[in-house]
Amino acid sequence: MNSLGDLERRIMDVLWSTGSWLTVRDVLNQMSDRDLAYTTVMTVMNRLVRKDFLLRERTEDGRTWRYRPAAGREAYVAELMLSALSETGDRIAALGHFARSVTAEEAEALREALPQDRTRERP
Amino acid sequence: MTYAVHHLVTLALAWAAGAVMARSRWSVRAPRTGVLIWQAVALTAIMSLVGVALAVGLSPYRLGVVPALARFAADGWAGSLPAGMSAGHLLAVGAGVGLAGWLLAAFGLTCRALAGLRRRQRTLLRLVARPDPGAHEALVVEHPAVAAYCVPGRQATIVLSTGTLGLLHADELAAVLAHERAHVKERHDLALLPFTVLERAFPWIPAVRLMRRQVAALVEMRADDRAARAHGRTSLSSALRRFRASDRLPSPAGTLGGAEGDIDARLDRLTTPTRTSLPLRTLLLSTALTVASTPLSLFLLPM
Repeated sequence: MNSLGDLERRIMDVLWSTGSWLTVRDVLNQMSDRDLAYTTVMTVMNRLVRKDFLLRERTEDGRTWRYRPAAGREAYVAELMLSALSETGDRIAALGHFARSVTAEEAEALREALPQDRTRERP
Repeated sequence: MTYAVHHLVTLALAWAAGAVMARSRWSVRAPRTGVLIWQAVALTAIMSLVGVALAVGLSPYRLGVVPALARFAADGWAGSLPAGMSAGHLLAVGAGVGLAGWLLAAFGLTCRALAGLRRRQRTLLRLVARPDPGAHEALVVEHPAVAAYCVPGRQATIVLSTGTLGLLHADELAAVLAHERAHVKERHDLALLPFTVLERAFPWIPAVRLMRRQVAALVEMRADDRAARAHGRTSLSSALRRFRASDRLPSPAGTLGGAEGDIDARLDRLTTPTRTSLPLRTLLLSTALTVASTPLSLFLLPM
């Protein structure tokens, strides 16, 4: 896993664990890595915005941006698992499986986690 | 007309070979040979199907398909087709070209869909998965459902759910990882690709679906063989049994389901191993390759 990907994950973790709007400075302060440059974090966060993993809006003073996750962590885990557990068409061809198994409740929970977060209204 | 007859004969041969393959049991014992033969069968069937149409349509030229097609294109451009060219001939040429185009389009669409799904997997994995603490070069996703799979490609990734880690003992996990590594190393995704393309091109033909399923099952068996060689049959089959024992996602309507049957077949051959002799495999393979190369030569040879 490359370091930039690693940084993406750590930034998302900070935002997922807070659950509120954060500025780049807030995120940077919550990361243990003191050597990280402000601009690096900002670049990665804006990339996450472009990929639709983060939403951003202007702060009240209108001078800086603040960010929050577009969906919860569970929604992405659910999407990942659903396509891994799927037994249909392209999805099964896309991944090489050893075997799959899931209980009925787990399957139900996965399906519920998915559309709710997908259709959640964006502020 | 002889070209068309030749193509019809190879088409019939491919069909017969496919019918034999679908019923025979030996491919389970030599899965890699089985996959190669299925590929030869599929290639032959497609080539001769396109070949029949083109050979019939281009028969007035009395040339091999490729040279005749070049001449036909040049004549068509110049607006002076030979006198023997009837509407029926044109229709046959159209059918052949159309079929080839249809397959190319299906190929393109399938590649795009698979690449998209894999890209999305990689992106999501980068955000929510963690490297396996046991240093198994795998990524771990926190979820109770049991899944072990790989995202194939040049930078392939093996993915395990925490449900899988909780389900398996260390030796079973090693066998499962070896199974996935075999998929990655031998590029089983590419071996399966032509059959996925065919299924997309002809979803209404049951034989095509059957073929894809058979190859998918053979690929799993091939990966099982490599895993069993590295970590023993016992570890692998007990891992498979644990997977089978957990509840399964009910297959949605309209899908094949039946993965349980596949697991049974894999367990069977792990518990009672037998191997097809090398001479027999060589014979089968050379027959298949001969059949597959026939329509190819028919395409290129001038009369």
